[in-house]
Amino acid sequence: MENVIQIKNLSKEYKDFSLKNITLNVPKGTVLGLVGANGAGKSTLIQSILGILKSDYEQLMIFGKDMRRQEKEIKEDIAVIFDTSHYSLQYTPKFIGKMLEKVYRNWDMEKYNEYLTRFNLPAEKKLKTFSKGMKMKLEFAIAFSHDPKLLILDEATSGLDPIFRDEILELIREFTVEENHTVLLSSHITSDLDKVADYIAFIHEGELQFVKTYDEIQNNYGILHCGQKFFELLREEDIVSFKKEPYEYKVLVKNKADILNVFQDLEMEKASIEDIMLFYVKGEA
Amino acid sequence: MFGIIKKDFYDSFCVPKNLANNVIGLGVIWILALLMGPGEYMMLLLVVVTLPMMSVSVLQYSMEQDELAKFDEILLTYPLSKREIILAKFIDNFLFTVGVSVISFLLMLWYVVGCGVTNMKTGFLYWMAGNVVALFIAAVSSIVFYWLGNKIGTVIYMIMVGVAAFSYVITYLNVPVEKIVALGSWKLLGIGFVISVLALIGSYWGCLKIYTKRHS
Repeated sequence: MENVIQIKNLSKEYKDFSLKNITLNVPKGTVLGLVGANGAGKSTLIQSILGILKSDYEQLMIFGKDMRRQEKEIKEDIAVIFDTSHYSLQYTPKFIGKMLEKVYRNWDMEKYNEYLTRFNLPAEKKLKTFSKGMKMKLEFAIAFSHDPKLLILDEATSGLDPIFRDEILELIREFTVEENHTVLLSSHITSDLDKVADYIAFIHEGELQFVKTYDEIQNNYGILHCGQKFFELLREEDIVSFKKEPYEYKVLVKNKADILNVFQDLEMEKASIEDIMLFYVKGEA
Repeated sequence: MFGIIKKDFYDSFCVPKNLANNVIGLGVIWILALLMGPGEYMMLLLVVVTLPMMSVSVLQYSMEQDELAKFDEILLTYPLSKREIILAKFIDNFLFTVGVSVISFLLMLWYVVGCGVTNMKTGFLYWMAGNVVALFIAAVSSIVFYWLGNKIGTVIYMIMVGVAAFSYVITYLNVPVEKIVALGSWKLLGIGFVISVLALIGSYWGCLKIYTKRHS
């Protein structure tokens, strides 16, 4: 499968935090959810990918182009949405359109105006009169109006109410209908990723713990509740992490089907992305 | 890049507070000129010092809006290089300096033709000197604003205005105008122009380094 983003050994050093040798591929036409706790390195990774932060890497290719040499060309086809709008509250959507018309080669003013109408956004009112939800819809109108092939969302759904988040996820789904459209979605609201992600990349303390398909997680990961004796029967390679609680062991396992073949009467919970995240962060390995 | 220039001019002339500041600033200069009446020192103050110092207002207002909205974060996702981002600010400054220069030229004409304060040759010399000062101020202010940010940059700018005003008062009290005219030879103006252009080039390079370091 063709990869839209190819990262090999990307590192970024700070005094108190570092992103360590991240190697990640994002296949074309998919939605990759980047999960991790606050401060895990999600935003640093996204900003490094975009060249907003300078990082060290062996390879950083987007659309098969080298980010070091073809950054401008690459950015023509990328749209980025952050958790807050970065446009002055004094601007109107109409002015933003006129400004971006001169920034993006592919800017489509007709499409932009269509989105403004569709999202019920007044073109001539200043952003200071907009709610957070309206500002976020404006970000999507902007993002979709220059025909991007890669949409990057950095915590874009955080701070929005569930109904609005659902509308945003619907927009993402709509975007990915076209098979050459790819989404990199960073969020700590894992339930959002349950709804749209094809792949999950989990980052913890600056290290990429795993990249798996959503189906692989659903099919292979499970949570067992058991006593110490049963826990000792489990093979080490099946255990991802465990939590010792007063009366039981809670164990996150990664070969659910194999274990269920051996212990047929066993009750095993499905592991959500949030469960996996919690086990990785708070469990014992 | 033109999109960013457009944005910066919007920040300066379509944000009510900044538009008011610009209009009041220019208005005060004309009112001052009318109230103080014809005089070569007043002409020098307005054409060579005050108006050129105003030419950085686009830079200041746009940086203020950028900082408030953290615009850099989204700006760096646009298909623009850091060089183009910095160059856009320098073009803003240059365009506004041209605008201020036109106003300065009209003021000079008013003093020379309308009030007969001095001859056209000297008036033209003052106007040119004002343009050189504007370029130099743009070079210094850009570095200050990029290095220290809008708030501290504005404070430093105000100190520069204060120093200029103080120097003016000292000069007014101690140096006869003939001596200043003699100093302002075309040769000196040429040297000043070269220094200002070199300062602008150095300033562009410095701003680019500061901006790159800030986003690394």
